[in-house]
Amino acid sequence: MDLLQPAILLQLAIGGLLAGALYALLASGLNLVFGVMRVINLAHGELMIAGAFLAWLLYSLLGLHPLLALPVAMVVLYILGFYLQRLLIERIVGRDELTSLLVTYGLSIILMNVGLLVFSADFRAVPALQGAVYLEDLDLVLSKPRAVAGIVSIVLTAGVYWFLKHSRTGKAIRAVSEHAEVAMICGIDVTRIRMVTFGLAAAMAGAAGVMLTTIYSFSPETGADFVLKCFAIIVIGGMGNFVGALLGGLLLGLAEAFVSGFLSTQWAEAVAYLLLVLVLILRPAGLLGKADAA
Amino acid sequence: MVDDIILETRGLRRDFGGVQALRGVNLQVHRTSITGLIGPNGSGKTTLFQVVSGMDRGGNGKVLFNDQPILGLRPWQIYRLGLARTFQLSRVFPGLTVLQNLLVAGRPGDRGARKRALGLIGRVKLCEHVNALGSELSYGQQRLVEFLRVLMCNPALILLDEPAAGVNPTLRHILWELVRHINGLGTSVLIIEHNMNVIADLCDPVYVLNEGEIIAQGDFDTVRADPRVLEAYFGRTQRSGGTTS
Repeated sequence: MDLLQPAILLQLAIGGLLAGALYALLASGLNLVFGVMRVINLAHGELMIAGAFLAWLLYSLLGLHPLLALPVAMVVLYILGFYLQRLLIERIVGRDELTSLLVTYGLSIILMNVGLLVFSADFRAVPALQGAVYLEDLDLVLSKPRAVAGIVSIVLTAGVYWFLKHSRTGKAIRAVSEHAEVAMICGIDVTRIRMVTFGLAAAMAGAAGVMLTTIYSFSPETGADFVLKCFAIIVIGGMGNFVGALLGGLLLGLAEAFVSGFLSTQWAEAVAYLLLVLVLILRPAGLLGKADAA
Repeated sequence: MVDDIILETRGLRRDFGGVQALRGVNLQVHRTSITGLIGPNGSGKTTLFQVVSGMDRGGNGKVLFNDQPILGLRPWQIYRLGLARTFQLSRVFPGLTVLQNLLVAGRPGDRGARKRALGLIGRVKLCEHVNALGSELSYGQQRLVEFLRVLMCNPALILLDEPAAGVNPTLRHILWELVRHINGLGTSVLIIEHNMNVIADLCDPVYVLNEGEIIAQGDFDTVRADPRVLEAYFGRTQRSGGTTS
């Protein structure tokens, strides 16, 4: 089969962008936390899996469709993130990177093991969205769950971007991210803004988790793979840069799709790290990052 | 504290290990006054601002703002009480526009914030930069924006830490006019400034801080003639009449 046919290239590109949108949603939350607190939250993947299990529970017990479970999971994860920040993460803000890495790594291990205790290591999925749509004019087959997950991710990420850009709280988050000290003397309760930020990031992770259930099977241990990819994405895009994370996510989705199509899915798993190395050599601050941020 | 006084520090101390940056500072800022705070480099002026504004919460003693003790409060709580400050080095939010820099400092739920912000921007002739990012402004413009930002909460008292440092003469003129204007509207000002012409022109009273202690206070002519002030600035006067520094 000739892989260079326009229809196949388009198929790969659309598939890659949809997967990349989900990555972008997840990575944007991780990046938001880093941008505001300079904390790399290694438990971000476990927060995503918490959202996934919540969606699975709601589907299994109540038959709730993942799209209806989405707002529930976001609210629950927001509250969880809000108080996690208050009780734990706030204590490591301003400390050296090693401390924050150790604490969030410890948190990820705790969350993962709680998941293993409660749900076991079995893989699960939510088969609520299945099948594919054939778009005859474009000669394009769209997987329903991937399309829905991609579109939901795009809408949510765009919504968060709008919130950060235009809302009063969003501006306060950006102000804290740029100059926490100055934000304090502008009447901004920096501690509360950090709680809101962590809650928002956790809600984004939870939303990504809900969407994940419709595409992949997952277990409590799945989060670790995603957080590593997300870390690569935010370095590629520029650490602390929200738009950079979007770009990095979409780029990774596209690269994985094309490498899967042209080489193999095994190579696709390595793409994130190859891209990471490439970006670090050519542009150490990331695609949209500033030199001082790196 | 009498009603006429908006800010008072009583026996304010701040130690950094063995270094006493503030040694029992007693200072009063009268309502609607422009009070000057001068002193040689390292005398503790900025430390005093840091402690009063809540940025440094390691001070001991008493700080009363509008009769209310504020030592130990967080900076945002002090700001919301109506005490705002600027920094010695300009600190605008580089990724926010000029307008956003001001709006972010408005009081929550203040519906008139946008109108007031635009009015302030117009007053210092920065209208054409209203949508420019903080990072795109010149240093002098950044200082103006920083100054406008503290006005967004309608403060009762503002602490200005060398607001004109590094600002060109034109913008400096605008800045001092604005200080006079807001003072005329009832806002009290405590200002650290090294330019003695400005202090003489704007401030009454003037406090002189040296090695963490207030060594003189009064109108500018009084403190200028005080031998302790001359000694602090120019060194101990020799018996021969010369000075060492």
